[in-house]
Amino acid sequence: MTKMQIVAKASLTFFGVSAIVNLCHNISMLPSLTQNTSILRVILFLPIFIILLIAIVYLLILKNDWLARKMAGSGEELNPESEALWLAGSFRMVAVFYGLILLSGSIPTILNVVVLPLHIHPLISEIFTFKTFPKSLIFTPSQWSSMVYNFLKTILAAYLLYGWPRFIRFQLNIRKTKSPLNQNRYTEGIKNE
Amino acid sequence: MNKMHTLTKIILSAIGILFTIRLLSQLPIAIYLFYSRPAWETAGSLLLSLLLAAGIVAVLLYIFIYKRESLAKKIVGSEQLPEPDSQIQWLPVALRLICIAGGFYFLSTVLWHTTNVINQLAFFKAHTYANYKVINTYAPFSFRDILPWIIMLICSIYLLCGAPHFVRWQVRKTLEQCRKLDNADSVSD
Repeated sequence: MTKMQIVAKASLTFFGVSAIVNLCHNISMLPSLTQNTSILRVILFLPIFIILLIAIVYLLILKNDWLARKMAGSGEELNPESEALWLAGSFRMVAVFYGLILLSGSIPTILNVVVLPLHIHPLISEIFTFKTFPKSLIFTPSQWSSMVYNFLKTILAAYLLYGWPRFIRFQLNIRKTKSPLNQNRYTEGIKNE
Repeated sequence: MNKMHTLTKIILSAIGILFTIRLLSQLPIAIYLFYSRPAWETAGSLLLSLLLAAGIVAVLLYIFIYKRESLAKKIVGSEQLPEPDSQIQWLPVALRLICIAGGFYFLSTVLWHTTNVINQLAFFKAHTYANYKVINTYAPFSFRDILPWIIMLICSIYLLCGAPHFVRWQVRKTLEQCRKLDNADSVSD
């Protein structure tokens, strides 16, 4: 791959991840829509969301090489060592940038999680003492979905800021298996067998 | 000045322009509030929002457009750097730029919220003076509401300083990852 293709690949991955987050945000808003519209309509919408999600993951994140090649065109190919460094560096930059953007919206969630033990203690004692379920723990479906979305977004932000290690390793391993040297070894192995 | 400096200058200008636009885009809300309820309070909040936005925009333009050359030199380091083709040099510079962009994102969000709170306070005051029945009590200055914004402000200052520890840690991790892959390759050979 050329340098520009790697940059294009990283940008496509960034667009893919941000599209997934936006899509999940829309899905989390579905329960609030059910109050006004019929559940059947919402159920009909769900497969569209799922198909979009799969398409984004497949085209923009996992198999985006062809699109990156089309975007960046051809050029001087990098040697495998430089390619690995450029890939790891580009993906890490994308991860840090999007992680920071997500973190800016996740600070209230982090604070809520941190102070959760302080709030949960009196509620638990209320359950055991009065044998009643506290009303403050009863959430509507839209509140639940928004809480789950915020929590997952915070986890994603933390993971991205940690450097997205598994995904980068996965991408580097794919590249390693695709490199011409390894392919030659593979074909030689088949011939020897 | 090599390619790296030029690239850094371009990115700094882009950051400046992007966040100037982001800051200016919040002004219509203040104008709308004044338009929907003309009063001294909303006029004051509009003026304050305008002054705050104008001040920040002026600082942004000064640092990121006029002083970008010296800032680029500070970010890249020495002037005698190799071209970005060299493997390691570009990574900390790029990460530092991303951190600065992230810091501005944080700062503009904090400013956005601050002007929003000022506008809402003014709006609610104008509401009360106009003898309207105020149903909801509004307390935007409670500690619990302000704490996330204080944390965001601290984060933005750290990121605007280039987040040196974070960048160093990220670069070290990236190199470690690549070295691990190379070692795995050499073991399999």
